[in-house]
Amino acid sequence: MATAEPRSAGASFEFEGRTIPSGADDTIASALFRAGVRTFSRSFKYHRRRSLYCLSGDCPNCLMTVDGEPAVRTCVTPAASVRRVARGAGWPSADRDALSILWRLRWLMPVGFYYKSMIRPRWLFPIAERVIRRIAGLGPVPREPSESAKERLNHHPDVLVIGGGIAGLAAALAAADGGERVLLVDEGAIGERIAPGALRDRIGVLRDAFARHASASILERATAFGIFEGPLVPVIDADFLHLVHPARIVVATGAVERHAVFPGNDLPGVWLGRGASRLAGVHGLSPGRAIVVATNTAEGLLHLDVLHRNVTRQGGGAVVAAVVPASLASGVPAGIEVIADGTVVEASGSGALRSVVVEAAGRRRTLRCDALVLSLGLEPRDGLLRQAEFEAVLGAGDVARPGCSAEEAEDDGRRTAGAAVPEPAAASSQSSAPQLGSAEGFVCLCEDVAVEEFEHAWDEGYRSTELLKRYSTVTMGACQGALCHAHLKAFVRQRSPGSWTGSPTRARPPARTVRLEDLAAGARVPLEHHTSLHERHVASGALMDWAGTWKRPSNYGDVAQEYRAVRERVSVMDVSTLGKYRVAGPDATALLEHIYPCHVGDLKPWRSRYTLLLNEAGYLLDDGMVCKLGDGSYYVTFTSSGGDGAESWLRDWTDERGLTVHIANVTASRSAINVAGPRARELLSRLSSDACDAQAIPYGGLREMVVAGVNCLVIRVAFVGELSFELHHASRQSEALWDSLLDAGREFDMLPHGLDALKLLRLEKGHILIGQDTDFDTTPSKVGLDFAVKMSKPDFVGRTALERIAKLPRERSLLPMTFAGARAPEEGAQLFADGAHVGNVTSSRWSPALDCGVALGWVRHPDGAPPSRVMARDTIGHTEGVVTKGPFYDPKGERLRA
Amino acid sequence: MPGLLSRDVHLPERTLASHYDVIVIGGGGHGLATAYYLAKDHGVRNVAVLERSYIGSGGTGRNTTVLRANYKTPETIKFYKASFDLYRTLSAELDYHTLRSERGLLWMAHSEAQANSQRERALQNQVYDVDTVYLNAAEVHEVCPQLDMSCGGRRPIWGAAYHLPGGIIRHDAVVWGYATAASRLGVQVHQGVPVTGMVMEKGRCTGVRTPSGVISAGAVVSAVGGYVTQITDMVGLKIPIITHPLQAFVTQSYQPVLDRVVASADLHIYVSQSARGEMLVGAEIDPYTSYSTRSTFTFAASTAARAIDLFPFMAKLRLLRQWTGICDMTPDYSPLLGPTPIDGFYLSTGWGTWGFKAIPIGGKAMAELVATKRVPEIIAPLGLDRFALDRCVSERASAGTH
Repeated sequence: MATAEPRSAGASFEFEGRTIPSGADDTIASALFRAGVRTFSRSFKYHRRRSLYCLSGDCPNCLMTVDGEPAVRTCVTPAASVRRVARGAGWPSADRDALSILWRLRWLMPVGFYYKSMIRPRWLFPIAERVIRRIAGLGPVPREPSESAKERLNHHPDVLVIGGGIAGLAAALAAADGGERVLLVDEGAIGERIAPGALRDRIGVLRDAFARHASASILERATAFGIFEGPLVPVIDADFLHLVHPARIVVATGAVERHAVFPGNDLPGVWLGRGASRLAGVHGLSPGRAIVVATNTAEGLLHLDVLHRNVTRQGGGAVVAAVVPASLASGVPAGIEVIADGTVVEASGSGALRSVVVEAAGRRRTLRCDALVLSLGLEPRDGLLRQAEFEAVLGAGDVARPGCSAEEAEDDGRRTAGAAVPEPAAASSQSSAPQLGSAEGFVCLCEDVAVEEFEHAWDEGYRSTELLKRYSTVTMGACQGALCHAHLKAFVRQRSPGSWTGSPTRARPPARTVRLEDLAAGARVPLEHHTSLHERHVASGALMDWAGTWKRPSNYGDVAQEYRAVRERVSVMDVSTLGKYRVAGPDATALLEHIYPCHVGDLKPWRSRYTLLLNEAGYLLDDGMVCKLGDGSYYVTFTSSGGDGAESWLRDWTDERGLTVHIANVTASRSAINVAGPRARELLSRLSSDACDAQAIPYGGLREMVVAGVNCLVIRVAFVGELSFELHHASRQSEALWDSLLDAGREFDMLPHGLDALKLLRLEKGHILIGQDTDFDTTPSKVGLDFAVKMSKPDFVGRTALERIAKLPRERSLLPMTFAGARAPEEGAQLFADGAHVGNVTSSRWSPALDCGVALGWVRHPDGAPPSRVMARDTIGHTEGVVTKGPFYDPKGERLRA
Repeated sequence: MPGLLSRDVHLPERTLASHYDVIVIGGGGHGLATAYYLAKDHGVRNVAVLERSYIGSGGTGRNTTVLRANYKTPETIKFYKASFDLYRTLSAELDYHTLRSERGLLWMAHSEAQANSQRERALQNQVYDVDTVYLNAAEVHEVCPQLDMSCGGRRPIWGAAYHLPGGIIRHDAVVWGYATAASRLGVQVHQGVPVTGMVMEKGRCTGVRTPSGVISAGAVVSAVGGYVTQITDMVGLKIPIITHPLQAFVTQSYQPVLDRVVASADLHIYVSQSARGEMLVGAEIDPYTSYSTRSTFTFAASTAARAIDLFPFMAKLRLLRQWTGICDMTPDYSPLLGPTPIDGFYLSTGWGTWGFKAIPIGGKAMAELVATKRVPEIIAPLGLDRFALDRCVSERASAGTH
């Protein structure tokens, strides 16, 4: 045995400059072990040498960087498709790590030492921290990031069984026999970790029987890492992120062999029984030449047997002694020395196991050996099970009854079919608490925490599982507490029996670590909205920017020209992002009257009104237009980013007041193009035989028109301060309409305009942008929108609050201001008056029409009237400004009423 | 190094008395700090902190340990700066190392609107001597070369407000440091003691009920976070608090590569890497109200996607643990602290997603309030009356995540 060649010839991978051959059954770890590698990693805190231990993916010892990906569990990763493997920590190498000196300095690093040191002088810690940041971590992050995109698949089985051991297979088979659709997942390949023999054969039989059912599905090398509300169980395999939504769940994740605590328990050469058994029985490798087995369970005798048969037969070594209770002594094969009722109290060796000390009948004996195999009971692998709160989850086999026999596990699994779900689902661990042994052994391999550190922390007052965990970092490492959680509980329960302080720490997802890219599979919801004219904008070279979740044109190359087109001739803008709704029904008027602070009931058909939307606190939520189409029939608009919220608002109030109103969101199905500028009417009349003169469609009016063959609802609007018609139409005709407008516009030297021009145009008119110029607590009067609030109405949402606020002194206002200097202040500039900081600029642009900077800014004036002069300070410098009255441009509104 | 090797008792166990001068409900950062400063600054030592679970089990122990003072209103910038300054000397003050680390905090903008907002924040911070500057995209890249400046092509970075002293700290150390220092001064910290009711006499709060009986007190301070409305219900006080979950996760530990704390207003996410090498990722509050501290898959998935957009190297990193806390959210995202209409009952709450940063100043100010019965100037704008007076202190644009 212990040959240098894998049993079946296969692939190879590169390991730190060496080529390592691997067989078909090999994991990375088994191939490395065969090649003589014994140092698999360096521990987190003391940089102690660590080697293979559990071989079941439960401990941190075999984590390596595989093909650039750090912290991969090499003991459960098949070697076949791997190219490059390296160990993470260790300088200059993991084999000879200078930082292992830290172990000799451990007296300087008792539990919580970092809370007690480097406090003074204050410059010390930043330097120390730089050093710590150089040496921390399980491995380097990948240099060449490559995200592999998995897809999501949803499954809706009746039963999800997690774990393909005896119990899981029996549960799956029983459920399938009962006619249920069953999905079985296992994080490895079913049976692969079990040494050949009766157990593995039985697993094969159950598997085949289950797989014959048409309603059975199996996912192998698929890791279920969480049980979330729903229940939702995400499962990751090589190709997919499976989202499983089962009616019920059977957790059969088995158990981890109990981690024994004694000095030297982390030395290379110390093994858990299942790991050693797997190494010998599955991979044909011997854990050592002279093996001592210590066990107190029937299962341990099986491992002993597997080791004895394989190791001896192949001549790679021998089991030299068995430390067992006297009651099990008869199960030890002949030729192996039996040490009855003994306990392993120490393992020693420098960097590798050389001997163990066993205490029996009050006498200590030292046994020379290079492998110590421990099979001392089981701790449930219940990370998943404990995550369940209200879900229909049952545990079966070792996870629920650690140490049950294979027959019991099978019975247990079978019983889960149709069984009532206990509540709350929790592991009923039947095992006794682990012995904590000596003060010096490591409880936690991830973080190098010893029992003496528990004791130390306890003495300092950290006297609950949760505080001990946080103070010592036990259970917080890569193993998720698989090895150490039981010890933590046992320690606290021993010290303060019966107290709340010994309760288990909260089980959190994930039960197994999971790549962020796998989590992210399918999670990039395309929250990027395009209007039906998006392609047109992109084709004409528009600069597109985010506006909430929309992508909108900022400009088409020349903001100044776009601006002039609107002011001097005519221009078009895609305003399809506006929230657009049809509101109709017998109570439509009542609803709108209630949610709008303006009058609605007196609106004549084919007339519109500017509206605010307030919440109960009297604060501005949004603004828009309400257009009356007929009795109880309205077309209402909101801002681009406020539409969704406004829709919820409408629906909530409809429900709240028990109204009969139909609300249709037509934001996507209806597009809108604003035709604005002094010659807008001329342009429209080129494309329509319907009248659009001031009589046919006056300011504040709307009508239906056919424009370039497209049916449009045309609304006179005011935002940019020029004669403007908003053409609302079916989105599928948008491109045709846009093209026709541009075509006809050539005669007027027309350009489309984007948001940059719009922001200047509206600012010159003193119109606010909700969000940019307002905060969540903006009342209409603070921003000069009193005209849109009719306090004469008996009731509307926000009225009570506005009435109360009206009695308070106004201490903040959004004010228009002009800046006569060479430039306008930057948006975000800070405002000062008489040297005191009074506010900030929310909107600011250079106005070609006024030949000065125009801005809106918040000004605090707690003592009465706002200042008349302000100074704005931005990243460039200072500008002097004057507080004025808006609007800056066309104050009487003659142009837009044309 | 005597302190290093000592086994001084940090958290002594004491017997519950029947009367204290001050009872503080809640053994989180704010409760413990309030007790500490009562004893330290005002000599009020007959103080008990009652914690129903273990100390730091609520928001303090679940928060993501970012320290910053880059807020958006004059009132809050002054408040958090005072807190930040106390944090700077906290380890020495408490003789407990809190492992504070100034790393530089980037608050990124991925749109023009957000860029303006971040510029405004930098400019306003400067007015109040908080070190924040606005960086353009090239400067952001220089400060944090690990960033994908296009964010997966989806959200190109326009610029950022860069808060130079922003950084991280060990949250548990803040809890234990205050508890240890307060205990040394005579304060009693009781864990596993829930408050089940309040004792009211003639409209005045004179004590609390616990499973071990009634405990009378000269003053009662509620320093309860997400569950605060359950306490205020006991005294019949209505406060404008709603409770939302807030989630976070850490990856396994990797060799540190990210020195900055990086937040993104548009992606609603922030990322830092601890000295131990774990990448810590947080996001905005969950959009629904709940007391549940259960974690969701949706959070892990969507947050992982955004983290990879920012830092492509994170794709292969592994999620180690996700967790959830609950946040006591005020309407304006600023804290709520001060006296209440009920004599003898004080509130330190509304700590939402921003409470951890304010622990030292929150505790100091509350201690002064309780000891002197005068509202300290620094918390005067943060009282319960501000909502009725239309004097909200809006931090909605800057406090939604952390």
